[in-house]
Amino acid sequence: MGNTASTAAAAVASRRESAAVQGNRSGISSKSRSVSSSVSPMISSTVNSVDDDGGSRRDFVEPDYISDLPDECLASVFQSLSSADRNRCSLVCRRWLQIEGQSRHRVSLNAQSELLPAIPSLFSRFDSVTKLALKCDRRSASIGDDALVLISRRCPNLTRLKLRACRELTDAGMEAFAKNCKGLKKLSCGSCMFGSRAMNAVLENCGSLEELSVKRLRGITDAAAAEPIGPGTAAQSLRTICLKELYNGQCFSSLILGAKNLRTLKLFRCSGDWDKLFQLISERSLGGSGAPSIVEIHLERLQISDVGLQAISNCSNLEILHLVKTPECTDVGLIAISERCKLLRKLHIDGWKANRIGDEGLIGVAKGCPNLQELVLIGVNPTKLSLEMLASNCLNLERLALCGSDTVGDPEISCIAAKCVALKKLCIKGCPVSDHGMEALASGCPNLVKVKVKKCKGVTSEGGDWLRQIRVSLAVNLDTGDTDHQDASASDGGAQDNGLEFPPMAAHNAGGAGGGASAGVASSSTGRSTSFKSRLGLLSGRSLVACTLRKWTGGNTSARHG
Amino acid sequence: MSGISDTERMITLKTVEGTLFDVKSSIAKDLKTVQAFIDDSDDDVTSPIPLPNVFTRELSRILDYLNNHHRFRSGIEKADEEMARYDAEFAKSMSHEELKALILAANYLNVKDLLEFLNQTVADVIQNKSVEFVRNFFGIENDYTPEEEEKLRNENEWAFNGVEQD
Repeated sequence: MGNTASTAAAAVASRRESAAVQGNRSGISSKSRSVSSSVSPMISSTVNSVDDDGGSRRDFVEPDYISDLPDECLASVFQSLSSADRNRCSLVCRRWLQIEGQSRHRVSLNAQSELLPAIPSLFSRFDSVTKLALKCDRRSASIGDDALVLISRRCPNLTRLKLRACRELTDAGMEAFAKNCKGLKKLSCGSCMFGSRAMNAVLENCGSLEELSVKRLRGITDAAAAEPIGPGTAAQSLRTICLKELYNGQCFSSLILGAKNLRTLKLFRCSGDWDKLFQLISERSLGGSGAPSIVEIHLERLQISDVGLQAISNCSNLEILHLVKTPECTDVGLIAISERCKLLRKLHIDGWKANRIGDEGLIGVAKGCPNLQELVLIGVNPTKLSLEMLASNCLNLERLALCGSDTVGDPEISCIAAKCVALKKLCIKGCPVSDHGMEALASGCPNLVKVKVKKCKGVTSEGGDWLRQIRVSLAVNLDTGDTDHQDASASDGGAQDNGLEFPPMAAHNAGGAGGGASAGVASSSTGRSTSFKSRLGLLSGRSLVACTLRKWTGGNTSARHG
Repeated sequence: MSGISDTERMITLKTVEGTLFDVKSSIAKDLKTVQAFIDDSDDDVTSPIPLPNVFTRELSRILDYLNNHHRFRSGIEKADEEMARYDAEFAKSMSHEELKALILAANYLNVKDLLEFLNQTVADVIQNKSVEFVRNFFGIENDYTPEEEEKLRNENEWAFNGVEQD
């Protein structure tokens, strides 16, 4: 790693005098002017570069000797290239270094402590950076406050900053940064050690902040010391807040409450009781300030119950709701939401096979949410009762995924086929469906474009082929779910750590017939949970699931299999 | 001047070699440099407009491209596929030298869409290639000293090579 300013950097520093830079020495000057569209065609290509004899030269550029492109063309070429390619281009010659550097707006740097000496050179070269990522690895010491401040002085126009594992950064450094980069729109920090003072500094100084994403912020583990994180000047501008794996996420409550134009709220695995927050949000709206602006809520592995859901039902603008592994949420809460959130169009539920949410709740959704376009159910056991109603009432239902449901079999698929007229994409995973169910799809769902079936033992490749032949325009994506493949797989249809993302067809890449062994494996699974899951895949006995659930939820729930 | 539809008016362009090209004014609009010249002129432009930087081979190609794209855009739906096929053939039909020459001409004449397409084509050629290849392609001499180059390579190590996601 270079730790002194390179002479290439010296060349860069002198680039402002473009006359001093020669693109090549083959005797033909290259154009370094920028194009002006109002130039009369009468003007010939005058090149004002200064060559070795010190005089300027007019050259008639003939096609055969053209060697290089004008600056703006090069910049346009670079725009389509990856970072690695851009790095190679910078090595071509000094002129290219200059142009490449000036046109690179997005930079991702290895934020180890040894980066510090290279910063002046790097940011002389990259002088138009608006999006910056500073990522350190867990084993190395990261850059400290001095480096961050140095960078912030050179990038006053930064709009996005992403920090990963920059553990040496403190509140003071973040504050200094925020004062220099007031135009920041998006901040994402993960595994950093600063705390609420840093957060408040950003919120105070960056009045255009739209998106804040915080994961594992160690500096706020001490509840007593943490000051509340208030909206600051960013109160009006914040649109998205995402909090992951925080011990004391509650100290963000005042921020969430104060962000008047908040549209998206995502809470993943943050400890504490979150019912209260949503109650406060709803109280505010009931107090006459109008329905909360929130349109999208993701809740995963949170302590939230029907009380919270009932409060959320006051968010009448809600369009997207994800409830993942929140076993305190039951049909009661879901019904409350479906009665008041009429605009709901995307609903994802991972019931964790706890059976707190089932037909009743889904029937409520069918009745209350006619605009539903996308429904994903994982570890939930709907029967024909609810599926029928969803199909008949939700006439815009275009995407449906059913995963790890013990109750979804051929009759249920037939029902879907017969009644879901708008359905375009269907995904079935780990359900007791067989080829008979596939047959039903041959004549139903007139708008169906894609069907994906994974880990359903009863569905064979012959069944898939048959369906493909009958419905030529339908994309049929199978892994055959043979037992051999299932043993090898670490994932199953039950309690999974990977949330199913829509569109599932696009996200999973190994779903082809016969090759599905590693399809859909949770990227975040640890060794321990992998073995849990493979056991779950083979045995769906109550006791095993129950004991697993108790372990994961700390004994708060006892699993019931209805 | 209005009244008669613009598409009927013809503009004459003259290349370096003296070749004359008659171009519909609707096409000439895409040659922004030319259009600016026309706009700036008080009277109608009747005599050929000389383009001292543009050679016959390049202008011919540019007009070919523009004529075809106008045709695709004004035609029926299937045009997208046809257009993509045409573009691919168009790019393939040129040597690297010709490609570069065309970029210079398109840049000078300020033909925005064509220029974007050509720049992308160049990007496709040089992506994942070595520094040496790129230098040869452009006929550029390395003006770094070995020490400078080494230092720059070291500096580049700090920038991650992966795809930068938001």
